[in-house]
Amino acid sequence: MSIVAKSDYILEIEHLKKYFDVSAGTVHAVDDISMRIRYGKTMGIVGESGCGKSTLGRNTIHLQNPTGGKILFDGQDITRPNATQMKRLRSEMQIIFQDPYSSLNPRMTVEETIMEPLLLTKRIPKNQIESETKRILDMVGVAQRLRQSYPHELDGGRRQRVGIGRALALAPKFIVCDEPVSALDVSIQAQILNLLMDLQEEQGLTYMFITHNMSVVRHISDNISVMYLGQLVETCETRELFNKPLHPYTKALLSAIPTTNLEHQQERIVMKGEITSPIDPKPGCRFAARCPYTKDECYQQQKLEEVLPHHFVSCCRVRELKKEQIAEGSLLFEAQATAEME
Amino acid sequence: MRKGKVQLVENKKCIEVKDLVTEYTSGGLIIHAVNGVSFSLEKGRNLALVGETGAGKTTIAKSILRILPDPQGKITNGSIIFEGRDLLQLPDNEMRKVRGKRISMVFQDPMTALNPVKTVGVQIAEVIKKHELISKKESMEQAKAMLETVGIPGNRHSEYPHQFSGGMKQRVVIAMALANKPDLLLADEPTSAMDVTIQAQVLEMMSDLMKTLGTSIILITHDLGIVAKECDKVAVVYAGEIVEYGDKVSIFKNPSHPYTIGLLGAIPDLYSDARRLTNIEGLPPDPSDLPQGCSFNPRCPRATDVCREKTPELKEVASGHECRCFHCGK
Amino acid sequence: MRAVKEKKIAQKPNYGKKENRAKTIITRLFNNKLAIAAAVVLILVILIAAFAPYITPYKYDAMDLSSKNQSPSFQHWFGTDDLGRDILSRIMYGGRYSLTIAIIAVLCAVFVGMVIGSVAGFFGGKFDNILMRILDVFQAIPDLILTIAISAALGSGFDKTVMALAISRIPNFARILRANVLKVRTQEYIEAAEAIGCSKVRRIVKYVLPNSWTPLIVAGTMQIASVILSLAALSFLGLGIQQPLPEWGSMLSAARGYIRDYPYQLIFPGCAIAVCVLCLNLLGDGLRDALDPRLKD
Repeated sequence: MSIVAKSDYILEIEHLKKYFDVSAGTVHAVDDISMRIRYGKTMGIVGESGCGKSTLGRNTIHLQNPTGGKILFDGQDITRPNATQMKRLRSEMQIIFQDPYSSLNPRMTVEETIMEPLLLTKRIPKNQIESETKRILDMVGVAQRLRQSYPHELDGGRRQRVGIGRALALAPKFIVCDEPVSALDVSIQAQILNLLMDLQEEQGLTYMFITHNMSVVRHISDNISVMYLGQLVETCETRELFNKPLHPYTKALLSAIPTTNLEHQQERIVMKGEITSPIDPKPGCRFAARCPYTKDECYQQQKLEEVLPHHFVSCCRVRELKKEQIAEGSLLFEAQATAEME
Repeated sequence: MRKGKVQLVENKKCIEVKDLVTEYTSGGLIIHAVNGVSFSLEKGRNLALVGETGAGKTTIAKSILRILPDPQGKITNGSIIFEGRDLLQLPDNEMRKVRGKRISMVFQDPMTALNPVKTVGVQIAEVIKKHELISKKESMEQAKAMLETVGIPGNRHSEYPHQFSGGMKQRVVIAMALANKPDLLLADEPTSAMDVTIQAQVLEMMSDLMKTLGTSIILITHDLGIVAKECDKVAVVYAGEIVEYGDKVSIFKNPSHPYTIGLLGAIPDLYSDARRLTNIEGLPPDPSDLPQGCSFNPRCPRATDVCREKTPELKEVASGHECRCFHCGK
Repeated sequence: MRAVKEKKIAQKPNYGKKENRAKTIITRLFNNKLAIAAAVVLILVILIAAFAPYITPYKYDAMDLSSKNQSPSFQHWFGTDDLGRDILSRIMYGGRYSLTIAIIAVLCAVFVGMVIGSVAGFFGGKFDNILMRILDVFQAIPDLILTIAISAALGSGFDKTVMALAISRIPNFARILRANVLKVRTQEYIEAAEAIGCSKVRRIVKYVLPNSWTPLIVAGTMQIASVILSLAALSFLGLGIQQPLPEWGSMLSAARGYIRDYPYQLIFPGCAIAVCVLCLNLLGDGLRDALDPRLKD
């Protein structure tokens, strides 16, 4: 193993592509995505159905094989991992799934589910496996008396905790959280989010947090990347995204979020039309068909540009629109942002 | 018969539900889905029934329309006054005239609400024709007009449901529900299965339509954010009871019931920076085995002995704002 | 063609109650009186066949040419055949062949079918295609003809018959299992197993199979009935099990010529076959209903 200068980033993705062949053509599920995630931070990936965020998560940890691009983990190139690298990958990069009802083997008890990764990697000597299992269950808040229970005997929240326990059993450094709370009731969501945040603090974990729920992502992420139809449209720090959304899609997305705060019920930006097909898409910005600001140049290849410090946007008209925007003063959080700056 | 005189007096109220009790029987067990629910709704206004899965909100809606599964579901008590008549006392043929014409319902999953082998135009036209004595051609014209109203080009009337996306299917379902310009629309989680931007489109369309037609909505949802934007009154449902009820602003500003407070605290808010979300410990109760006393007491941070023994009544905590708790607002 | 995934609709909460799946299934089965009656009859048949040497009034090959072709009487409850052998005793012994061969054949077919089906379903692609086309060829030929052809090629005798019967049933089980494997394969817990480093083989054996083999219980039970019939047909045709062994099918064959004069020689073996097949079908139906997850609320 060559000694690589340690970067600040645990994960670096460069021009990642994932295409699927279907009978109607080629689906560009993930198209030229680049991003970097720092150690111990949470990168939120947001977007709606079909944007490719789940595919991105699965390709990052090699549950699917990328069609193109490069992935660097902890300084190592893992784009085409050999057997040793794959082994290491599997123990250092884990995933938590969305559906607690289908992500656990119905025929394995809670104990067996948690023990499985331990048995497979031999990280722990055999005689300590049972005590390690107990420790993990404690860590995720599942009662010891449930060790012999089967998944169908538990509720969604508990199942999700078991899923988290399974992911943590290998002491990973990086976890892809694929909509981990979307299938849970609101009161249970809060419990699981709190658990994830506590675990991150205790163990220095890095998360790629995939979700369509903007309120949740704002709560848990340090940085956010917005995806639309396989493309990355905007990425920056969380607060910055909510204070100064620049891409028209991000703005529409934020305005569509229902909020319980009565003082901030703003007008929704309603996009026109329906989402376009990801099969053999035309070149250029894929949001152009629905964007209220589309012009001819939007149909050429878009580039992710740093428009503001550490704030990247993939929109050729962003600077013109920004000028209009500042004039309008129609930004979210305007009052709060100014107040905080004082 | 009584219509003329009674309507003048009851003009303000669209629907009034009193002490509704609904049970399901399943394999010898009695499931107490709805336990004494009362609320009312004025004409042209919207009410939200809020609660988590299993709280009984859908059962309330199905009880109003009397579309509970037979024989498992039974309404054992209460009255539902609509247009001066108690719906629970109506004979079947009268009730059929109400369904789809005066009261309509929209469900969560548009895929199962639409018949896959009939075109959308035909499905909307059928709803119209069932309640009006008009020709097939005329009903089809109205159906096309209805499609336009919900934002779908009229010439798509000859397409089948599978040719539409999820959001558009739901629009078709809404078109069917509103085709006869009902007084009341029951919407059971109509946008829960949608992306947030499609949800925005559909909710926007619904609220425009409501204003034009003067229809009242009872919106069933678990999403308090939607409630904050769309509804006037809120009823928080837990274990088949309304635990907090009143004007939206009052409830959001001064939530009194511990469950409501917990729900609001559990939602990450876009506008605040709380580091930890408040938890509601435990699980929702099993409706076939409800706890003694107040149904929320096993999970309640404020529970005292009286909560475990007696069931609280609805108490007024502010004008137009009621709470069912022995420790309201403390 | 939309690559859009519909958001999942929240499922009904499980109120944290412990639910014993096995107990529910057994209770449901016991509530099905017909299935229980069928099971009791089958158990009776098995017991009779097992203890036949001790309980038959005569030995199955005891010839008594002086009392051949006798109608049912007090000494011979089911009468005698054309070699003076007691039909009742032969029928009681016959269960040994029909049931044993059928059960062994089906078990073998289930096992091989499971391997083929799980491998084809799990790996998919060209491999699956090739395997399925091979199975197609087998299934294109009517069951009985296929069985006869294989049996004729292999010869008669106990083990060869079992093989012929098993081979003809493999495609059926392979397909049933493959269908379930295709369903299970896309479940997230299979992906999760891959994510924690589970090898393909382990994934199939520990994750896919335990969740997809239950339909084989019902299919297997039904197939036992079908195999009994096939075996009878084989023996009838001169393959399978031959005289003097009292296999029911060969008894039918031997009595073929006497249908007008001594119909009882055909009726009793025929009934024995029919009763077994009927009971197996009823039991299979009962098992299917008991295992049906949709019956669960």
